[in-house]
Amino acid sequence: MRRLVWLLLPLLLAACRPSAPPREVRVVVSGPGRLARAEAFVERLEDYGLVGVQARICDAGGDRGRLRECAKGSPAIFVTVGGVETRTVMEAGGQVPVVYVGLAASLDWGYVERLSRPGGRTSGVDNNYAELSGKRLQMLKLALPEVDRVLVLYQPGVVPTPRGLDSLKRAAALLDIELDYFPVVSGADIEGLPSELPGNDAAFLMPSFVLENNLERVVEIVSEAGLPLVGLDAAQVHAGAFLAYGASGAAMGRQAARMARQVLGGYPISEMPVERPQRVELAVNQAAAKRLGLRVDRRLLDLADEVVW
Amino acid sequence: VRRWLERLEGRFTLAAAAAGIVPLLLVSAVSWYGLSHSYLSLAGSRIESEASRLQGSLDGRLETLVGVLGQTLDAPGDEVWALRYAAARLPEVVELQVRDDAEVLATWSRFEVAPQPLEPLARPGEREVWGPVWRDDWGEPQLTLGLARASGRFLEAQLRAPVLWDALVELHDPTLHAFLIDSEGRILASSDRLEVLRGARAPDAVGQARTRGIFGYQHLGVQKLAVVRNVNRLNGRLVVEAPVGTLLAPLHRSLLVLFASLLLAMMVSFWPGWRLARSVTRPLDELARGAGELERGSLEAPLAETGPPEARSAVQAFNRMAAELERNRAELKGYAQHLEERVSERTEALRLALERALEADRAKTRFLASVSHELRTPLANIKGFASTLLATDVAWKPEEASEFLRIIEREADRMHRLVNDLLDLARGERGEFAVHKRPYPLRRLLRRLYPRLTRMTAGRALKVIQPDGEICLCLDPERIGNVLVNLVENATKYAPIGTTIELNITQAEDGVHFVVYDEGPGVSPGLEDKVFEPFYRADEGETPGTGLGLAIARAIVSAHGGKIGLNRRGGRTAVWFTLPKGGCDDA
Repeated sequence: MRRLVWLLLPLLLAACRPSAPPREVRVVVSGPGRLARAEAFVERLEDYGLVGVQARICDAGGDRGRLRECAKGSPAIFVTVGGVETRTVMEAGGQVPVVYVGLAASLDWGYVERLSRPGGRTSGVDNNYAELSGKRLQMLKLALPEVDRVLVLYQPGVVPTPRGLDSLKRAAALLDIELDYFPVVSGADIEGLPSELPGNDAAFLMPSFVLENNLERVVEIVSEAGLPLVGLDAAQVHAGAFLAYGASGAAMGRQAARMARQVLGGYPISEMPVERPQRVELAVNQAAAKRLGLRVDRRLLDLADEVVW
Repeated sequence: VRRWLERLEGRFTLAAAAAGIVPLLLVSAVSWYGLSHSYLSLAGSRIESEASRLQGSLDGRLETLVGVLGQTLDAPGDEVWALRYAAARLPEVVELQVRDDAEVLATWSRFEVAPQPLEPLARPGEREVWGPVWRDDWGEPQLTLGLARASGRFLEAQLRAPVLWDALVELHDPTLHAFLIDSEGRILASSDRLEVLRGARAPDAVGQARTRGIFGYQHLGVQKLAVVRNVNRLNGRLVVEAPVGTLLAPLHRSLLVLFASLLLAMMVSFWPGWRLARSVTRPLDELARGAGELERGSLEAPLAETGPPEARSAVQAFNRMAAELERNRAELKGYAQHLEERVSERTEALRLALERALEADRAKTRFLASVSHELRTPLANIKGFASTLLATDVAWKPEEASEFLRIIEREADRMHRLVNDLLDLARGERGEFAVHKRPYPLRRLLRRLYPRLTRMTAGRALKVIQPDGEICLCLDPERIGNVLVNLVENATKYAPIGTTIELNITQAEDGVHFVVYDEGPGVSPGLEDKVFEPFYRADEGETPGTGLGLAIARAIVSAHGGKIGLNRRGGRTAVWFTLPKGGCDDA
C-alpha cells in the first residue's frame, strides 16, 4: 500500500502544484508625454485575452534613474514607447526581445539592420516622425498659408534629429518657408524659448523626449507669444498644440500589441519587419486657433481626421 | 510490478480494477471521438464565419476604395484637393495621382511633400486595373490600382496592403491563419506577415479547392481545416485555415484533465475497494488454509474471524465444525486405545483361564492318580493279609494272626482317614467346610495337643513359644488342632533327627500368628503356593503322606477367616497361619 501511495503522490502533487507565474510584458515609459501610447498598447494586448500574460507599465515619470530601474529584470518582452526608453533597455543588456511603440528613425539607432529584417532583438513600429517632419510643415502651410518663418524646437544629439531636420529643410525649401532653430538639451533650456519666438510665425516641435515630457510648458510659452505650435501627434494637439500630423499613438499601440502577441507566440523578433504606422492622422486644434486669432483654411479642416473645438 | 501485483492478493481487486479501467477507456475513447467531431464541426463553423467576415470586409473595403477613388477621378475642379480628400478618407493610400494621356495633373502623398509620379497603370477601356503586389523598403506589401475614364482621365493609386487588409492582419482568433493568394497561388497578404516577406506560396490543395464548405488537407505533416473564398476584384482567393491539432488542443486538455481526474478518482477509490475485496477474500483464504490443515490432520488454531458479517459467520461455522471434528477424533483415538487395552486384558484373562483350566485338568489327573494310588496301597495290604489269614494250607499262630489283623485294621484306618480327608477337601472347595467355632483358650488347645505333638516329633525337639497370658480365640478346636498336627507332622517328615521343630505363637493387631519352623531342606523357590494344592508333593512321594494335609489346612484356616502361607527364612521353611482375634466376648 505504501508503494501505491508513492505512485499516487506525484499525481496529487501535479494536481496541486501552483500554476506557472504569468509572463510579464513590461512597458517602459520615460514620462507622461508618452503614456497614452503605452496605455493603448496594454489595452489592445489585454483585448487579445492571452492566457498567462500580464502587461505592466513602468512609468519613470521623467526620472532617468527610475527609467534604468524599469529596464532591469527579465520579463518576457520589453515594450518601449520611444527612443530614450529603447536605448535604456538596450543598454541594460540581456536577450529579452524589445518591441518599440513609436521609435523615430529606426535605422539610425543601430538596433536594426534592415527594416524588413531587423536581425537583432529589437523590432516594432516606427512612428515616422522624422520622415513626416516635412509633411507636417506642408500641413502647416496648408492651414496657415501666411506662415513664412518657423522656429524649430529640437534636441541636439537625439538620433532622429538629423533625419528629421533634413526632411524639414527640404520641405521648407519647397514651401518657401524660412526656418529658425532652438535647441533644447534639458527642461531648463525651455525657459529661454520666449526670447527666441518673436519674429516667427509658428513654432515647430521635433521628436525629443525632453520636449514631449515638458510639452505643457512649451505650449504655455508659445501660446503666450501668440504663435501656433506644430506638434507631433494628436495627443499633443489635445495638450494645446495647434496642429499635428503624425502617427496615431493609439494605432501604434495596437500595432505593437499585435507584434508582441506574435513574439509571445514564438516568432523570432529578428525576423519581424519594422512596421510603419497603420494610420497617420491630421489633427487641428480649432480652439487654439481661435484663441490665437488665426484663420484656418476650411479645406484643411475638412481634411483633418480630428478637429479640437 | 509483479511483486506489487502479488501484494494486491485479491483477485477480485484486479478484476474490479480491470473492470473499472476498460469502461473508463471506452468512455474516454467514445467521448474523445464524439467531442472531437462536434468540436471540429464548431471550429469549422467558426472558420467559415471568419472567412465570410473577412471576405465581406475585403470586398467592402475594395468597393469603397474603388468607389471613393472613382468619385475623385470624376470630381470637377481642383484635382489636388480632391486627391487630398480621397487620401484623408482612405488610410491605405500612400500616393495618388491624376493624369491624362499627356501629363500628370496632380499628385498627393501621405508621407512625401513632393512625391515622384507613379508608373502609369490605368489603360483606356479598362475601368479598373490592379497591378502586381510589391514590397517597399520597409518590407510592406504595396498594391497599385489604376482607374480609367472614357474622358481620358486616369488615376493611379499606391495602396498599403497591411492597411487595406487590416481586418485580415488583425485576426482576433490567434488559432486561425488567413491569407490572400493570387491566381498563381502566391500569398499577397497574410495574418502572418513573414509569409508575405518570404514570398511563400499556398499549398496546391488550397489553390484547387472548392469555395463551398470546409475541407481538410494535409501540409508538411500537419492536418488542417480550411475554407476558401473568392475575392473576384483581385482575381484572388481568401483562405482561412487552422491546424486540427491546434483546434483540438483545448479539448485535449479538457479530456486529459477529465481522464486524469477519473483515473485519479479510480485509483483513490481503489484503496477502499481493495480493502472491501480483501475483507471478503481474506476469510476465504483463511477457510482454504483451514480446510488444508484439516485435510492434513488437525486445525492448529481457530481461524481469525474477520471481514463482513457473512464472512465472519462462515468462519465461525467452520471453526465450530473443526472443533467438533477434533473432539470426535480425540474420542475415537481414546476409544481405540481403550479397546486395545481391553482386548489385551481379556486375552490375558483368557490365557490365565486356559492355564487354570489346563492346570485343573492336570490336577484332576494327578488327583485321580493320587487317590487311586493312596487307595490301592492299603487295599492291597488288606487283601494280602486277609488272603494270608484265610489260606487253608497254613496254620497261623494266634499272635501271628493278630498281627495280620492289626495290619488289616491299620490299613483300613488309613483308608478311612483318606476318605475323610477327601470329603473334607471337597467340602472346603465347595465352601461347605463344617467348622464348629466356639470360644476356646489357646493354652488349653496347646495343652491338649502337646502330648500328641511330642510323640509325633520323636527324635526331634519340639519347642513351643506362646505369648504370656491367656488368649481366647473363636475356633473349632478339633479342626485347628488338626491343622497344627498336620504342620508339625510335615515338619517332622523333613526335619533331620536331632533338630528342633519350633511352634511360635505371637499376637498382633490383626490376629494371632502361628508359625512352624523346622531345619529341613525346605521347599524349593517358586513352590510356595503349589504346596497348598491337593496331592501336590514337593518330593514326589519320597516321604509318606497323601498330599492333602496342607490343602485341608488351608480350607480349615479359610473357614476361620484366616490366612495360611509358607515363607523361606535363612534356608529354613516357615509355615504360618493366622487366626482373627476376638469372638470370646460373647461367650
